Order: sequence, then structure tokens, then C-alpha cells
Amino acid sequence: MNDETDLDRRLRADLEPTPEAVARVVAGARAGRPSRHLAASLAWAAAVLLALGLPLLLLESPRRETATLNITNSGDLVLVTRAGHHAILGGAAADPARAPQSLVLVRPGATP
Amino acid sequence: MTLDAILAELAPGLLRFTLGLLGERAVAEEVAQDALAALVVRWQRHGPPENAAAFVFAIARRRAGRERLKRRLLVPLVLVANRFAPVPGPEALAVGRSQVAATLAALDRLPRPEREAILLVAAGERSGSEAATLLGISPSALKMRLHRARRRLSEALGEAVPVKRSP
Repeated sequence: MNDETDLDRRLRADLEPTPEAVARVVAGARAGRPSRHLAASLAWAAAVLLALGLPLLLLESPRRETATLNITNSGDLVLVTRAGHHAILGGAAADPARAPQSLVLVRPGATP
Repeated sequence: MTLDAILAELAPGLLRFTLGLLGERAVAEEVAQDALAALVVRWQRHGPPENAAAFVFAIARRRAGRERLKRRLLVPLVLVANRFAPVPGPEALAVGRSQVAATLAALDRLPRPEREAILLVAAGERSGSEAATLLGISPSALKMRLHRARRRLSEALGEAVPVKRSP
């Protein structure tokens, strides 16, 4: 099937490796040294992962915290509190137009 | 046969095979070394494979294929880089015109199935049945590929159509 021809012999002669190259490759394989080829492949894979993963990380929207507000009336004040966080005092329940101007932020966890 | 003896026996043919597939000695050495290193790992963990030559040549063929694909994807970048590369000197030009370079260029122009077939048999010195198994084709299909590959190579190299050596 594969009777050798002059062309085959020429091909083999042209592609013949040097003894040094043979020794180098055998020693490298025996020592289990990762070749530069493998290292380059790993670098490529890392670069592709980074290129694909970075936009996903950047595009991910921040998680929203669920906020539970507690609204109560205390005289002419509207008391808005959030469990474990700030307490917000809104003034003049009878006059809603003033309420935004009279918001008071009290330190975390504090209640009046 | 010991692992060292197998490695020493397979390395030259494997290097010829990968050089013919890839056309660059440095990359060919890398791929051949990876394939032989895979054999070492296989040998140490699970014992020798049924056919060590088929094992390393199959790995080298796969890796060389990936290397060629990667190179093809990088062609635009290489073209841009070459625009700014220095003009090759007389020595580089002489090397480029050498017989080895002509052979590599002729191999590069062959269709992949034919290139792999001729390199497995002629450069890698694999038997016909082994090469057919490695390529996943029938022996008669391999015979056809070898015939076409030899004809095209001869034409590309400006040689007479190869004549079978008398036994």
C-alpha cells in the first residue's frame, strides 16, 4: 500500500530532526516539563475567560436590599422607621407640603 | 521494551511528522514533546498503551490541528505585524529558498487529509494499516490519498511522478 518512493525518502531527509532536537524533546517529555506550547494555551484560555467574564461581572446589577418601612403617627409627626437602620422623622403630618423639608435622619437604630 | 527505549524510537518520526504538519521547527518540537509527555503520564499511571506509536501520533495530530487552527485565526494580526517587521536579510532569504523550505511550502499547500496521510506514512514511518486506523479511514481510502498526495507533491516540487522503489 505504502511502497516507499524517492519522494518519501526526500520528505524524510528534509524533515529529519537534529540529534539535539530529539534529545531535547525526549528529555522534556521524560521530565514532564510543561512545554511553552501548553503554557501559551493556558494563557490563551485565561485571556478568553477574562474577556468573556469581565463584561458579565461589570454588567451584573447590584443586589437590591428589601426594605421594610414602618410608618406610624405620633402626634403631628409621621414616624418612619426601618428595622435596624435609620429612623426618619417626617414633620407636620397635617401639612404634607412641608414634610420633605423637615426630614430628619436619626442615627442607625435610634428611635425617638 | 522500556519507556525510554520507546521514547527514543518514536521521537524522530514524530518530530518529522509534526514539522511537516506545522512547518516550524520550534512549534513542531513543542507539539511532539507534549505528545510524548502524554505517553509518559499514561505509562506511569496505567501502564503502557496497546500501541504506543498510535497513541502519540494521534495526540500529536490533534494538537497540530489545533495549532494550525489557532494560527489561521491569528492571520490578520500576523499580517499587520509583518507590515512593520524589518525586511529579511540575505541569509533569511537564502534559507527561505532552501530545499527544506520548498518541501514545507509544498506540504502546506496539500489538502489536510492528504498531508496527514503522506506524513504519517513517509515521515512518521507508520504502516499502512496503522495510518488508516489513525485517520479513521479504510486501507483502500488511504491508498488513494497517498497516491494523490504523492502526485501533488511531485508536481509542487517539480519532480517526476514518484516511482515505486523495487523491493
